[in-house]
Amino acid sequence: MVLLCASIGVGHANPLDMFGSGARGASMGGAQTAASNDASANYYNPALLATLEGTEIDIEYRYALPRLRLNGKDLGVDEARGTRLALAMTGSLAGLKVASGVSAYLPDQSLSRIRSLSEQQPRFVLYDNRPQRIFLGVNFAVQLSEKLSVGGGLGYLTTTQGDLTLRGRVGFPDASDSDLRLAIDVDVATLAYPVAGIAYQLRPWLRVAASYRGGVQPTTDLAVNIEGDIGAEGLEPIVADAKVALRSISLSHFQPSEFNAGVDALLSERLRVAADVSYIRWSQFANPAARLDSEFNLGQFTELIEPPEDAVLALTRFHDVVIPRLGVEWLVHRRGSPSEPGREVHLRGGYSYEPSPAPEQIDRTNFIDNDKHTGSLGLGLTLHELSSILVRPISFDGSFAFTSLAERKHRKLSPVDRIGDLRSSGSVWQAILSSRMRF
Amino acid sequence: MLNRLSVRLVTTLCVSLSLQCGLGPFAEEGGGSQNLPQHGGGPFTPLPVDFDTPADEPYVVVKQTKSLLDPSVEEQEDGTFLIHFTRLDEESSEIWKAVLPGIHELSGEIQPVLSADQDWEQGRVRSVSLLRQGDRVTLYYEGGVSERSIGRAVSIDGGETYSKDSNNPIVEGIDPFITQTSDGQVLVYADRQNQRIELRESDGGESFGPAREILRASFQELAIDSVGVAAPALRITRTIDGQELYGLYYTGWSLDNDDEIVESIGYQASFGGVHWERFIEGEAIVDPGLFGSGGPAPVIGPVSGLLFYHQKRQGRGRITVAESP
Repeated sequence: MVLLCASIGVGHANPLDMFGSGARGASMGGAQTAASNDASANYYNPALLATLEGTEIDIEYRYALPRLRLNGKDLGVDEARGTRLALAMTGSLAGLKVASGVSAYLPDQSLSRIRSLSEQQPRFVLYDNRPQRIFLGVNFAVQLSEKLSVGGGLGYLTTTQGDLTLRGRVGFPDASDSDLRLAIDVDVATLAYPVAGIAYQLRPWLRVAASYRGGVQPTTDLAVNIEGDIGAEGLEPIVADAKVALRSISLSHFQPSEFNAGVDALLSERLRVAADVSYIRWSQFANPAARLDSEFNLGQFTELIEPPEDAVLALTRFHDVVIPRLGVEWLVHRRGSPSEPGREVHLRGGYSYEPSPAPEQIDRTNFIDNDKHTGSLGLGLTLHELSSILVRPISFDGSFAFTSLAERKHRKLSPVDRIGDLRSSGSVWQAILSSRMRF
Repeated sequence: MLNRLSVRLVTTLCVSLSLQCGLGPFAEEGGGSQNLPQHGGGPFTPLPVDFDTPADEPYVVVKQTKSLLDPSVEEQEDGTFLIHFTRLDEESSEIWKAVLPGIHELSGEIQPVLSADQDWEQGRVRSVSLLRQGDRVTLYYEGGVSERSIGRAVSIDGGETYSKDSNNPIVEGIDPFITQTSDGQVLVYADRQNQRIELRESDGGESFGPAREILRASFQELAIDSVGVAAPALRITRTIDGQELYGLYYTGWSLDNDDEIVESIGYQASFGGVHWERFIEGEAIVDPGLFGSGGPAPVIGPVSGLLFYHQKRQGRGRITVAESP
């Protein structure tokens, strides 16, 4: 039971932080703070919602296949699959152009996976549970002038709190003779964090922007209680009114706060270049392993129980990182005139470098992470005036990205470390297909 | 008594919870936990009893009326285990072997390998360790009763037949364990008084250098080695930077309430073999249970490990195995 309680809790951030939002954004290396031109602005920079026109609905399906290795062996980290839905609408209010949007990501394996591991068990800490969770964001934006837009909103993550209580009689010595009633009271609560952005059209061909996403570290708090007599049915109980209470508290799904700055430059009629720099505050990351509180009342036997030790969790010593991103979009084909296009094909490419926030794991923790190089390619097809119903453009985008985790050594200080030296490496393949409909 | 009752109480509570809730540690896990590396020092868990296998878990080599002790185990290319051990009864002490198809199988018939026929052996050989170099196998063993020492025998037919070294005994000591290093061989053994474990190095295996103490019994009350140490087994690997990592498995002796010796297996390790650090603060790496555990023989892979050892149940040794993780 102790092990059971200790094995609940944890994961990190949300899936969009890992793989970006939208096929267009992902194929441009995630450099979208100033360059997002669809409902994925809900994620990248809500201020850009005010630069859209009308109503836009994005639907996307993504698939990511991690191949993460320790000492040359694949750890079997789960693939990540899921659907993202995003909506953006514009209108006017008090003479200003305003916009609102909502974005949701639904993984199709687990809505939210909560799992805590011993701090000693090696795991790729940024990939373990990070993609396996639901994400929701709601945003508003306003165009303050022809050049300046601001936006903000709330992102939501889930956190779990609850009790599981058994009341009645615990059969002793035959446990199957128990007569217990089960009560479960578990809340999957939401936890909101702020999102804000600003965009400024510096030149007709040049936009600069910045965004902020708040950090959260939800707590998973689960308790197991057994209350009642211990003994055989019909006999005087060996222990009357016994109580065993175990409570596991772990920090789950940490999301670091981040600051992003970006530029979007339309260098020619056909060529767009975007660049971002992100500052991610991983130094706030606390040890996510579960802490266990226990309480025993077993009558005369209570003093003989050795409760689990309240282990002191090691410091993670993560550090903040700066991530550069670069994206290119090239209009390779257009049927029709620039003012009245019939069909457009965009080719996209991108690159990002994400240094690892995790230090070399030399002591008892094994929060493994590596520097990551991601290269991406994508293709976009936009059809204009497809029918009398769909008079506005409809786009289909696809992206393919490959992330390489540069090999890294973790040399242990102690010769009797339970895990020993580690060599971590790996790769992640990712594909996204999305459609954008405008009304 | 009260302690046992309280443990049963807590166990009952846990089982009740599992039965009532359908909860337990065996739920399907998410990915990310396959092929987890491990260092090799355990802790190890004895095989649970499984009535669906032909084995008598956790025992893998058992012989009625004979005591089987001090296993030395080699994992063979076909996945089977070749186990050499001491076969002991009131009249004799010999070295025998058996092939174990798998840890959930029982071994095949046991076969004799070496018996005492030299004067210094005083009718008794035991505690075997092998060094295999192609078809040449060098077998180190303990002989003698009043003055126990280490001798060796060589086989050039892959271990079918052995010729004893004319220079026997070669080292004063007991419970030998031989292993290959990058530039020679290392012999570890216990001293005759079971007070310490010593290490000697050799270039080619012909002669060994001076003894170096690498472990001394702690003589601390409640420690697993409060009265002595025995039966070392040394595993030498390399760190990812190429440094030699020595891992020493050993048997610790302590006394029970009746002043009978209780065996437990401990582990210590060292970078380079000079400064040693004990694992789990010197506690046992496998639960000795009611019958103790001794004579460790590790078979360690990159992601899992097996620890063969003996248990003396009703005074008769049986060879058993525990696994990690």
